[in-house]
Amino acid sequence: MKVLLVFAPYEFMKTVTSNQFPLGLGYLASYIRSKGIEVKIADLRHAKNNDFAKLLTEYQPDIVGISCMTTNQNEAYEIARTAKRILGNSLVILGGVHATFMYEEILKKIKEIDITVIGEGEITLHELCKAWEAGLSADSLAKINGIAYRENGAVAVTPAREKIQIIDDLPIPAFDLVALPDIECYFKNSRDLPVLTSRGCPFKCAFCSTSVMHGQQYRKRDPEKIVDELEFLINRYGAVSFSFVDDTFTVDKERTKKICYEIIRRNLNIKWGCSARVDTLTADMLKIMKKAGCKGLFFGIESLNDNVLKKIKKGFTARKAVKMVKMAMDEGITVDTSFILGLPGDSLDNSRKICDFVKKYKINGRVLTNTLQILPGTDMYLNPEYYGIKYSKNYKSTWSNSISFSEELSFKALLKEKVKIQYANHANHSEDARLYEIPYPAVSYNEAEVPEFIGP
Amino acid sequence: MQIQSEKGYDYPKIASFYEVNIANSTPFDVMVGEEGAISIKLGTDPYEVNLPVLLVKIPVLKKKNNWILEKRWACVFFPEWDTPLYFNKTAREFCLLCNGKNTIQEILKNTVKSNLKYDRKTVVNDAIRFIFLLKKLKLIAIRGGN
Repeated sequence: MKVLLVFAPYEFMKTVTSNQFPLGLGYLASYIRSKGIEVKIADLRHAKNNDFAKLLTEYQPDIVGISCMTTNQNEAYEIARTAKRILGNSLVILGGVHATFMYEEILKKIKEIDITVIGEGEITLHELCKAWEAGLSADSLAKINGIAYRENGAVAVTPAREKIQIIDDLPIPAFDLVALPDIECYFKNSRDLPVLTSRGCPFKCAFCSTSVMHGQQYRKRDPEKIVDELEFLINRYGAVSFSFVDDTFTVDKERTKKICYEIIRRNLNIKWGCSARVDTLTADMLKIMKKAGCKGLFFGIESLNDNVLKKIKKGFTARKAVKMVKMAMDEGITVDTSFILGLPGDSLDNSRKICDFVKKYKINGRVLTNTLQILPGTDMYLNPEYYGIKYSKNYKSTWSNSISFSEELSFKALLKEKVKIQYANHANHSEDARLYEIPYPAVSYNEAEVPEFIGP
Repeated sequence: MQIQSEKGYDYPKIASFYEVNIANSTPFDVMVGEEGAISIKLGTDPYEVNLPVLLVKIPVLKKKNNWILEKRWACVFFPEWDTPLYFNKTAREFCLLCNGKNTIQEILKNTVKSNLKYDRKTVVNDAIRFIFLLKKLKLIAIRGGN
């Protein structure tokens, strides 16, 4: 049997230029390959118009698995429709965060999706493959944990899938199984590859679905095995830099140090970046991380107002955040930060504080800002009254005004603050080529007709 | 690029962090060059211009509520609230003159006056092309005249 795993494009954020290999699909692919199943990956962020249809026609997969987040759900549904139209009787499965929390709505609304996978997908997908090979039946589906499907016009849900406790047991993600695009596409700007060293996040930020998805279970890999993987990727793909794509790489300070020491001991001479929390780092750690090749840190700060931070259960203060950003920059590390505009208790003054912060400290990395979106599964989604928010479930393909702001915090007012922050950030980077000039159109006229009086 | 040149002649510029598309029109062709630099080609021009006719026209800035005016730059959301387009100081001042009172001739005259140190032909040529860039982006309406 043949499986095609599809990464849906993000129409809404195509300029965020994430060019990295979809690691989640890489894990799924390598896992089922290790069980003897033929599988390919299609990353549609890089596909041209007919690439996907052509791949479906030629490859004829029995199962199409689509990865879906809330923000690209419409694109994922469109992929499901295309797959069903071209393949007819193949099984179309939707997985990922959105499928995990919204399975009922999806199965009721999108008839082309046969099954949604709830939670982690490796074992579930393998069991679905086995069930398909044995001639899929309602009985066989009922025995697979972590799925939802239609049965007699209703949505049936099986018991929760147990989480994989030892992530080191999973095979290295299958970079070689990418059928679309060419693997070299991921190396266009640099030979940077993503690596996952843990799953889950022990924190409880009210806007984030990660800890809900993973049940706050922080499952970490062994430092030696992580560095083995780095060495493998260097030797196999010539990787020179890595992104540790964990939700928070630095949760366990001792483990972080061990990874760094191991990179240093093996003299890998690599560059890497990771996502961190400002309260999980110390000055000593920053020095060791820098020595081990850490060039970039990403901090989700969200707000510089302590009342707002407290309300969203962020767990640190603005002072702590500013101090750590400065400390990391002083260490020579590029610091990317992100903020959410329009959080409960927010004001335009708070947005201006962010702008001042960007200017004052000359933030040396990117400052990402977005207006608040209420994502399924989050505490804000489940308890909007507590946060004083109202929201619509009608997500659009762009960052949309999916929540009701106060009069002062209208969507448009926040967008205006966002561009001011964006401009302030850009002004810190004279070498930055990310701002693209729109060229003049060609205009032809008779220069002799320019009157002399236009001028001094 | 930087929106604002440090010194020297600063022609009117519009720039974006995002890919720009024009509704109901051929999208811009976006080409990725070496080192990730992106250029955006504006579909099928050129505009053939009858200059004497153009000069007496009056450009009027549209989408007034969508503008952010800072001291040294401006921004407008295009086409509605989707994509922020940044304007350098020269472009900002040029747009402020598109207030429904000045003819294109008057605006060109003002632009040349503000750039006396620089080649008049270049300044006029850039200004005329900039008007058509605004027109193409549907940020101005061109009214009146004979």
